[in-house]
Amino acid sequence: MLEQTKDWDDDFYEKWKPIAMGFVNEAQKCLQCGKCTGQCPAAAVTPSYNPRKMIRDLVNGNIKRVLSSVELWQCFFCGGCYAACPMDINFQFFVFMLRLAAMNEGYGWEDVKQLEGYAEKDYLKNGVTVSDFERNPFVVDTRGDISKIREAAGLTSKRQVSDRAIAEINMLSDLTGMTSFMKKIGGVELLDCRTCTPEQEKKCKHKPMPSRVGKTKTHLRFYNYGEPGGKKHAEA
Amino acid sequence: MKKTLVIGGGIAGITAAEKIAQNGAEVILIEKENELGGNFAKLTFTFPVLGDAKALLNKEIDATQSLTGIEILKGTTLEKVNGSAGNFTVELSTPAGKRTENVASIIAAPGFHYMEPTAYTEYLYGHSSKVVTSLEFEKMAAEGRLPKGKVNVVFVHCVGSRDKAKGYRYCSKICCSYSAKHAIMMKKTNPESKNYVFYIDIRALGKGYEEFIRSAMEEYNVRYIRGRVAKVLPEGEKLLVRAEDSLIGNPIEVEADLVVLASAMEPPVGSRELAQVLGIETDEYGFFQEIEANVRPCHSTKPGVFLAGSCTQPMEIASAVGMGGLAATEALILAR
Amino acid sequence: MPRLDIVAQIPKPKQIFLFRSCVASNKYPGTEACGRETLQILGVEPVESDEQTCCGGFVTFANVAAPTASMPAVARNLSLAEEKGLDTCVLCNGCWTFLNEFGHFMNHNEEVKASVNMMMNMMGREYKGTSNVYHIAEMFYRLKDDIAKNVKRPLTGIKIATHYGCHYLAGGKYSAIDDAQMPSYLEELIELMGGTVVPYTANRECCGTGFTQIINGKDSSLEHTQLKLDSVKEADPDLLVVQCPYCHSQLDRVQQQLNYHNAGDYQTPVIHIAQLVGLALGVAVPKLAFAAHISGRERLEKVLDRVGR
Repeated sequence: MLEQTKDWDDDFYEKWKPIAMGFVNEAQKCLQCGKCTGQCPAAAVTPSYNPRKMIRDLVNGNIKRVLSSVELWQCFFCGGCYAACPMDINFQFFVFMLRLAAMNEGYGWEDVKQLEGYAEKDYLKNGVTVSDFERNPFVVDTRGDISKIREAAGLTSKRQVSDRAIAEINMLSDLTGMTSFMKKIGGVELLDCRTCTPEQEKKCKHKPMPSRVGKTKTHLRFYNYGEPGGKKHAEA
Repeated sequence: MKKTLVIGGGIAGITAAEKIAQNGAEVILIEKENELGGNFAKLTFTFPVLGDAKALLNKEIDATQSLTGIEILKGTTLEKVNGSAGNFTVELSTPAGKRTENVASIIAAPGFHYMEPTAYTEYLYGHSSKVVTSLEFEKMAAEGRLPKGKVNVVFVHCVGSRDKAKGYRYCSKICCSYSAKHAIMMKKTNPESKNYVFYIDIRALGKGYEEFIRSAMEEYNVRYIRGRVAKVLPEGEKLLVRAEDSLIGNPIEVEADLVVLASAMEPPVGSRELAQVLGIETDEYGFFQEIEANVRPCHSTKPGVFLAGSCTQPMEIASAVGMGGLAATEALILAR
Repeated sequence: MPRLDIVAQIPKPKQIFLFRSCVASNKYPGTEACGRETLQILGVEPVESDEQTCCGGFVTFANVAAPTASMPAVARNLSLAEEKGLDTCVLCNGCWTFLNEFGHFMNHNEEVKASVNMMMNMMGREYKGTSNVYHIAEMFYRLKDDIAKNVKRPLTGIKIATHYGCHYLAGGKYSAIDDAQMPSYLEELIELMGGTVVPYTANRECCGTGFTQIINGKDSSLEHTQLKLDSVKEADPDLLVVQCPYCHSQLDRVQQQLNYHNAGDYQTPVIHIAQLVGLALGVAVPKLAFAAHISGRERLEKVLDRVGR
């Protein structure tokens, strides 16, 4: 299909950089050598998955294709691309950033929805993300009750996380906007007090926090989130 | 007429000394090894014309040695330099002991070093005897130890070059051409062999180079695959080479009996120390810095010290010879 | 070759904060119990805390939360070790990479750290960035002399294959104690305890979990794991040793699934390095908790018979 370079978005990369908080680095250094794809476990089993091509699209600004792609959600997050990269590009963090951006455009909700339960029902409820619940009945048949095995091993029958700890992570989830993000499954935005709009400022005042800790002054706010969610998702 | 000191008995140094002597001036050629020839002497064939490297080099060495006015000191290193352009006092450490000479100028031609790719453990270098560098391949070819029968040989470009993480950021310039040469040598020696070259970009920057590389593909059936090799895995007696065929966009695996790594040309061992003795500057990698890259390529940052050959940048034989001649001309001006 | 300069920087503390892992606690409790027991035998007292939660890595990398949201969770967990003035020892590659990377990031971004500390202060905590995070395999390698001295059940004749796991080696390209492409410290530990190392082709391949792929991209995940397991099966080791509970769960459980789907017959027991060291150091059999393992249970019993119960 004929591609139009006028559709490319030159600012995308710069715009989304702060979301990944500096973890993304220097995609423009990519040599397109293909060492990443050559060792990629996802590429080995998924015909169309190709990290090299995704970096190319990102650098060129042809991010429409990346954001709407199914491949974006097929990354294994193994980090092998970073280990292999001759230019030290940490591609897994790009995937991370691109997924957030894609969600903002309304893509990938089905994927994240399947995972949201782990945060809501396990992490925030019990303090551990992987619970002792077994989805696979064969596992239980083979092994029996895990709490018995724990007891035999000299551990408490259930892994203990204190009530205070669970309250604290819930509080952090609220403060950082994770809770609201999960509720709306909305897009995330990292706001900067220096460029804050009055509207955002108004929201901010609901949760006043000091802008100084000790000697360090900060302008970053963790709990500000942008428009809830992908446009398509909002329409649906 | 004053004397000139030439450091390094590789092709650049030999050429410089030869030209100075042919012009009737006196020259001292020092070489730290016990033989002349440098890296050239390690080759079997030249490119882009498959010339007999040993014969070509010996002809040059013989011509140089037969000239009057050249004193060749093998096993000799430079210890100290005093003075300025037109009047340097140099202290040499020869097998016969210390020696002091007065020279008008110095030509530095210490050559280069083939990088030892020990950091490339993903290619099993140092872990498998079937993974060798191009230099070792040259030796294997010279000794008739190239694999026989139905074998797959994989040539890997850009090992140590164009690699910020494990090597150097620069392009090593000649690897594309010498890998093609190796693939052709392999096919000529063993017509049953299948040869694969993994490249990122093909840089054939010289007369006849493009044609040479095309001939590898067209006449010798060398398979060129665009993609940097990601890893080499041991599989029984064989090796598995994993990479991406990036023109197709698909991961690819090649079963190999021999993997040849085109290791980068790097600055000669001890280049920074030599630069310090000479009082000249090096670039970020340790290559000698010229004052101007285009019209003063053989002028170091110190007047009276001239540069020749691959101590300045990765370079093929023809350029090293050209630079040797240019450095000789500059030296003759001061020798007069 | 292990990077000995990095190993040399690991202290041998009297006490260490043992950071428990979700998967290890709830799926393979032997890892947790052995982590505790082995450290004790090696002269390092593990300190645990019920205040410790999940590292938050899964939630973050599943894109349910932004990195901004998980930063304070990392800070909170690390502050628990800091309060006690201890370094942290983790059992899981994921915890290692997540706590390390995000801790490193906060330590090098004063502003972010201050923002995080606002929230920490609200709950009476503070993140200083003084607790170093070590993987238990790193600790084992650091304490290898003590391990050699304390071997009670030599692993003589036991064929063992290794699997390092991506999130330790790849994530630790520059900070892991070994070369990300050609690690060998687990092999060294195995030989130290008398075992025989079995090499196999896919040693350095990913386990196939693919982080979230096992949940929402199951086909590609299983396909990759099968590639790995085929290679393991060819080498036919008595044990496959991992150092990450997540890889552990994948490699162990997928065997059963593949067997069920008639995709082959896979019976290789998978155990965590803490369990292997526990086995060699003579930790009581119930504390090894091999009962929680799914695949190769018979072979696992045979291994126990051979080294002595």
